[in-house]
Amino acid sequence: MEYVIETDALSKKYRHFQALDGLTMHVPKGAVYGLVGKNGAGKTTLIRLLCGLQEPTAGGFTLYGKANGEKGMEKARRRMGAVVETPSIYLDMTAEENLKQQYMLLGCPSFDGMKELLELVGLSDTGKKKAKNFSLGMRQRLGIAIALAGNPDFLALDEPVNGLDPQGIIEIRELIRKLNRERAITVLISSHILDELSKLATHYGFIDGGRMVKEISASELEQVCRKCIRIEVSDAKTLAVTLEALGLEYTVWTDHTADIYGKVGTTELVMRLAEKNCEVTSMQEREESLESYYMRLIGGGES
Amino acid sequence: MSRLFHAGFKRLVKDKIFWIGTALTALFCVLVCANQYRNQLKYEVHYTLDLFLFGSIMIVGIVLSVFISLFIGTEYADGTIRNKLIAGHGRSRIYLSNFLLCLTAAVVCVLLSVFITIAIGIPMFGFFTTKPGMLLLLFADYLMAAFAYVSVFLLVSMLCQNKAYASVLNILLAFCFLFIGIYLYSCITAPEMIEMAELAVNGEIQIESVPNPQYLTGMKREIYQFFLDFIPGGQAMQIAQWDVIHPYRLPLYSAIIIFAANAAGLVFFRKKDIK
Repeated sequence: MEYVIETDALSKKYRHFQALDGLTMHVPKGAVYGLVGKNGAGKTTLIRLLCGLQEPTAGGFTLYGKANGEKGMEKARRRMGAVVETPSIYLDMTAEENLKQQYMLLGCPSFDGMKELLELVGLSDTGKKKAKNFSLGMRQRLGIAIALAGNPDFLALDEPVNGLDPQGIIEIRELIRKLNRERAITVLISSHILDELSKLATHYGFIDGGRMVKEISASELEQVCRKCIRIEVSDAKTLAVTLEALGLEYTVWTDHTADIYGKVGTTELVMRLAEKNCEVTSMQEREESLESYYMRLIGGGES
Repeated sequence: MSRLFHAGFKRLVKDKIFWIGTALTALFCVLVCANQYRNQLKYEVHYTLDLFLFGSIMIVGIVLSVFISLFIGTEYADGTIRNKLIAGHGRSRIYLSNFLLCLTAAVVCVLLSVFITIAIGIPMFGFFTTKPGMLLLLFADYLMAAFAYVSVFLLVSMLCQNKAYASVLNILLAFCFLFIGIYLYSCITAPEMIEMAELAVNGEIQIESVPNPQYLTGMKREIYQFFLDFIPGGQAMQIAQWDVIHPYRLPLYSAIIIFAANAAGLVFFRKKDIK
């Protein structure tokens, strides 16, 4: 498999804080790679290192086969675009002026394609409105437009839907999908919104404590995600005791909801619960979500 | 680097702070000329244009400190410095292109203030009396002092990612340079002898010349003179007062500041973690 990015035991230490601790990652060409992890897991640090904003303290990485520190790295970086944390835009400039700045930085001989780019991100009618007067979603889209100037082959997006309203989230999702499918751009996205990420990603990397816990493709994830029965009852404690007695694996989510894994004898379970005055409200067969897979892999805490 | 300079220059041309700063410097020149012309008429003395030609150097440092802090600080505040790095530009090139941009701004500001002084000063005070060679030398001193200011303020702005902190630090630095310059100049120009009035036995007041205890001599005077010549604020004070003792040394000292500040800036900026 051809990889756009490969990291090898990448480490970054800020004074006494180890942000990345020997992280190894592989981003396949053409993928939408979802980077999943808690706050402080090292997602943003990883993207900062890939963008050349910071230097690793140990280990290394390759971008399009060029190793960090190698002579051709600056050239390889021209094949990438990125939005790191907040969109990098001049707030006292219009969308068009911001794009012109980026075209000049990239050394583009003309501003051809600028209008199409603004149309692509839905900012073609902003006229003389300065970026400081844009909504968060508009700024995010302008940031993506700037990252797309120069037709990059690889796009790194750090929390691209953070703070956006539902409409904004859908717009960004569709834009990323379009870029990946129509322009064959490889995308690396870090996000907290797992449900949103699951709608886009073709590959996942789960990070915790600066280390890669698991790399998995979406199809592999689908296979490993176990089927379960989501059951709603009047008392989850009684349910738990009953499931223990039946020797079934389960996860209790709330005081009334739990997931049961494996084959469940519905009649027996319902009868046993009825004996203990525990009412079954509903039972539904469902697949384990990315969220529950993540919780199983990394554990609870802030996400 | 030409791409970085080209993009930066487009931004500079549209930068409001730059034009406001330049306009304020020009206004300062107009006010100085108008005030001296008023004095000339009131006290029936004659001033020459030379005396005010480079007077703007007194505020150029302050104007540049504000402009550079905000112009460079915006790159960090808006995050656009990341675009330059992601676009594959090396850190040295980013630093040097910013240095060139700030030099350009300084040259425009200085030239405009000098031209305005000449334009309104000639009708008021007549033409220059100093030899052209000396005028050019002092102008070179002025430009080099301005470039030294640029180097120091750029160093602070490039290494401090917080726009507000960088601005406060640079403005404080500009005032410090200026006040130290004023202090050193007043020490160096203190007269050797002062006149003292004494009441004689017959009741008459006698004026007597006595040595000035504030007058600097020996090594102390040399040290004070060195710092007056070395720091941009001291240079500004001498140039503005048309009282430059070592006109050939000043650009040399400025060149040392420019080189040292840029070398330090390049070394530390290369290692800097950009957020």
